[in-house]
Amino acid sequence: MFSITARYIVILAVALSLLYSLLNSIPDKNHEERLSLISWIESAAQGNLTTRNYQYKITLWGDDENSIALGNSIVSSFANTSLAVLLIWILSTLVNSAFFGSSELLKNIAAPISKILGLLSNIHIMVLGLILYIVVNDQISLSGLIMIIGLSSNIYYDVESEQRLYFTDILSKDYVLNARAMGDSVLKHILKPISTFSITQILGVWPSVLTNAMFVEIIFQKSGIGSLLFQNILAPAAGSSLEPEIDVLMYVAGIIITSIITVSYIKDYILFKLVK
Amino acid sequence: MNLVQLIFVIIILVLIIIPVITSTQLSPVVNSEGDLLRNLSISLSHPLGTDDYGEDIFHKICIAIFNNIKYALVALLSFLGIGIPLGVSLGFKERSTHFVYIRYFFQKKRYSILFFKSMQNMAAIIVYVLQSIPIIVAITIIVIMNQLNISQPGFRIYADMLFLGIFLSPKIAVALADRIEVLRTEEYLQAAKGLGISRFRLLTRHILWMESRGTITLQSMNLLIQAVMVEILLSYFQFGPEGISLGNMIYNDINILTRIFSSSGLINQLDLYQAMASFCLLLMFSISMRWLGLKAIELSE
Repeated sequence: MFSITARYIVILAVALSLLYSLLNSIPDKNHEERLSLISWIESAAQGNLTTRNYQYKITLWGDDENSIALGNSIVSSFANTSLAVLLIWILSTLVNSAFFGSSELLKNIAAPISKILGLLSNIHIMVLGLILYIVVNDQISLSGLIMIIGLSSNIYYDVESEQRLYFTDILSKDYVLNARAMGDSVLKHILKPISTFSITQILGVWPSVLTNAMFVEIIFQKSGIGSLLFQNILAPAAGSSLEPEIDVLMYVAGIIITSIITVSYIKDYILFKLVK
Repeated sequence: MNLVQLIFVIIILVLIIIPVITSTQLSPVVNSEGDLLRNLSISLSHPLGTDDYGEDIFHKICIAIFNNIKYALVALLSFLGIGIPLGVSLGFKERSTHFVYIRYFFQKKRYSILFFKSMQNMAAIIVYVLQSIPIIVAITIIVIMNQLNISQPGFRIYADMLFLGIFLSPKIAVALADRIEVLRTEEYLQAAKGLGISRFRLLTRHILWMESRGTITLQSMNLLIQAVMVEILLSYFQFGPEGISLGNMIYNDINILTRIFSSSGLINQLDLYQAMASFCLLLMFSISMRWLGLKAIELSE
């Protein structure tokens, strides 16, 4: 366990240092003195960072008009991502349960649904997002947003096929066959391994879905990390006289990286406990 | 479904080859008197007609996809160049604790092995670090870095693609490492080792070529799709290349299509077909590249 924890601490430190050094290679018009990473984190925690263009304070929470609060956008993106992950997991579980169930009717219903969702999933988030943007403009509902975040870029396809393989594998195990022969409930025996597998699977796809969520937020200009990146970094850099807000980018990217590493750590922790 | 996908693949390949045979430069269509032929409707000689500038849309699309593949190949170069060595290092990495290794190799005085083990651990850290940075954040950083550091706009897209390949390289590294881990226990590889086949030959010929070519092809196809999508994203925010590209075409088409879909008046059918052509191509490209990748896995198995 110590080895896993130490590994993730090293990864976090290296990732943040890499990010900070990359961002520091961007020329600064004001020629401000560069802080070290530790000093930067300290300043960020104390709320002493300011934006380059209007000298607004960068904070996580707050409603001061001279400050820019990033917390709401981050929470919004994380919530969209989690809901999208949950949606694809539920859809995939329902489809696979129908395939492995005894009802022929459910199998016949599940087959075309699986095919359509799999085909939709083959389309990249950018293509699907832009097509929807043309049709509905920016008037997309939250449920629609969550649907395209979860379904596109092969995420649904990967989740469903991985789950099906696991179901096939576990249902052919000796203890399951034995339980079936004895007339015992199969569900009672497979519930624990399937739950563990599902949790690790959900945690495994979370980072990819977060990337999808950011793509969609940029296209539809919905509140979230994507639109935050667009308004503070991409739009100023695209030709206006404003400077890209490097500290905002570092702040947001730092939180995203920390959350992704935390999710991976939890996943590895569960797997470690399982093997033990 | 397979037949449709096969047709898509053939269409995409033909579209890429056309500019190579004809010309990668676009010149306006003129009549015998030298006048520009603007907004020509669909015909056999101009399958998608011409636009406001008298340019043949079909030829423009061919050049756009050719240019996009050119940019994507730069990304592929860094993707394979970094991803494969990382994957190989990760695949041969032992599962034991690092401290046990250090003690063992210092006692045995086998420093070369200690060096290789350290490289493997470093490769693992690089893969995890790159994996923890979401691609959209990486793209944002790369684009701003190149925008402010590279003065020649023509080179920026190549630099963007080079970095994109590096940031996406963990995908192939992890896939390859998983494959190698499975192969390590295979009997025929143990037998080959026993017969005295060199480690290099075993790695390149048996593991990478014979056993992992499907995985490498699938990952390469996914990278090509991703690189094309990134070019579109960059062009959407005006960070894209200056010449003809799918991203620039789609940026213009989005404006036309949004106008068409939001207006309640009469729709110009020619405008609609022309604006939708690049989207249809993108869809076909996305589906056919994925299919090609899966087919490669199937064939290699």
